[in-house]
Amino acid sequence: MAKRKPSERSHGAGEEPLDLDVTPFLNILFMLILSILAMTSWTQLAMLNVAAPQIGGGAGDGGGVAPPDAASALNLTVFILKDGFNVGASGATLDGNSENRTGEPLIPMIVRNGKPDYDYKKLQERLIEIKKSFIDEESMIVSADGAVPYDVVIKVMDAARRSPDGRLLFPAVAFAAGVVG
Amino acid sequence: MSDTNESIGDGTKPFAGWAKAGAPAKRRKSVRGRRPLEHTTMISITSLTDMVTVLLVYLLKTFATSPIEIKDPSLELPRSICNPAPGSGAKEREGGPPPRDGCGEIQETTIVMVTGPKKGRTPRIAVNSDAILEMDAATYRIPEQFKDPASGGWVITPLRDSLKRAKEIKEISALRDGKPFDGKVVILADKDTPYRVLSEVLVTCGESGFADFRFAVIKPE
Repeated sequence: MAKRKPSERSHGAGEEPLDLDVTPFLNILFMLILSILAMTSWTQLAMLNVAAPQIGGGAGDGGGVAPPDAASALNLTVFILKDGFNVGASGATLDGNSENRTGEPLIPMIVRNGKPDYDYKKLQERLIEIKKSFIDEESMIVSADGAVPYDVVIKVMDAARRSPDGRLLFPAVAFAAGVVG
Repeated sequence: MSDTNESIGDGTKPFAGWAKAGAPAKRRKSVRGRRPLEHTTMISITSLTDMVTVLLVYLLKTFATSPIEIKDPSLELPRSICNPAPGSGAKEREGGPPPRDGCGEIQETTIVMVTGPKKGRTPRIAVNSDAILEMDAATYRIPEQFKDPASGGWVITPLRDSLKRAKEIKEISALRDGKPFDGKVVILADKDTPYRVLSEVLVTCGESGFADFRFAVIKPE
């Protein structure tokens, strides 16, 4: 065959245009998509740092519970009861009695979606109030009734982490083991 | 070329599309000198390939793996508003301070898992996905026989033994890397776990030498 110019090569009479068969390529792509879908983790996790619990933490006196920071003077404690929150600090506990609601917790439960639920918003408002007087304080102790679910503890930590305008409240959380005042 | 048999092929070439049934060869010739139809009626998969490629690129972009995978259906983590700053986990791994708001990225470390009573299963405690003990399904508490009486009922004996073994392994690997043992432990607990069980697990972790607790939670979308 006589040598032709490159420009003439593909235009010879009777030559078929070459069709690339992409079917196997598509098969590979589909398999890749499936494997990526299977491998992706859809729930994204994060971690909350907490400090160690103290065994036998005192409730009213606060004597047995030591905050992670020894220099901390406030000793802020949030008590999660079965029916609401109490807030304690340096030996004194605020509850319903201190606001003429005898026998009730400081922040009682509210009804949300037809079910009683803890009032995290009110707790956060209280904590913001306390933060105003103790600007350098960052640690908080959480003490809860033995039956309180973990979900509530996490929500309390969420409420205590930042105020709605993004300022830090009491992000260093420690736990007092199971004693509620 | 205008032969009908050629479009169907003799089996040696890729299928080139069906020949139009009953269409006479004459008529095809009359289509203003274009190439015969039977070679162009193949379904065009180019657009499909385009779409699939775009999909693949999108999936690769959103592809995310997590150092901790949860495959247990009886474990439902609580949701939190905690949204760690990107890169904070890498900083902490390099020896930086933990994030100030206590909200960090997930890291691979020792895992203590506390599953819930979902789907009729008995709640269990596991360390690094090895089941350690089963809780009392009726009361949702840890049975007394698993607790160390010397600790006042706060230390779970099988969990302590298992964590001490895990600690020895971690200490050896820390020695090899030339770093001190950090005592980090991630608690993966079901959102319904009672506080009493949770604090017993925490006390046991502290007792076994793991004092830096992390709670795994689900980030907001």
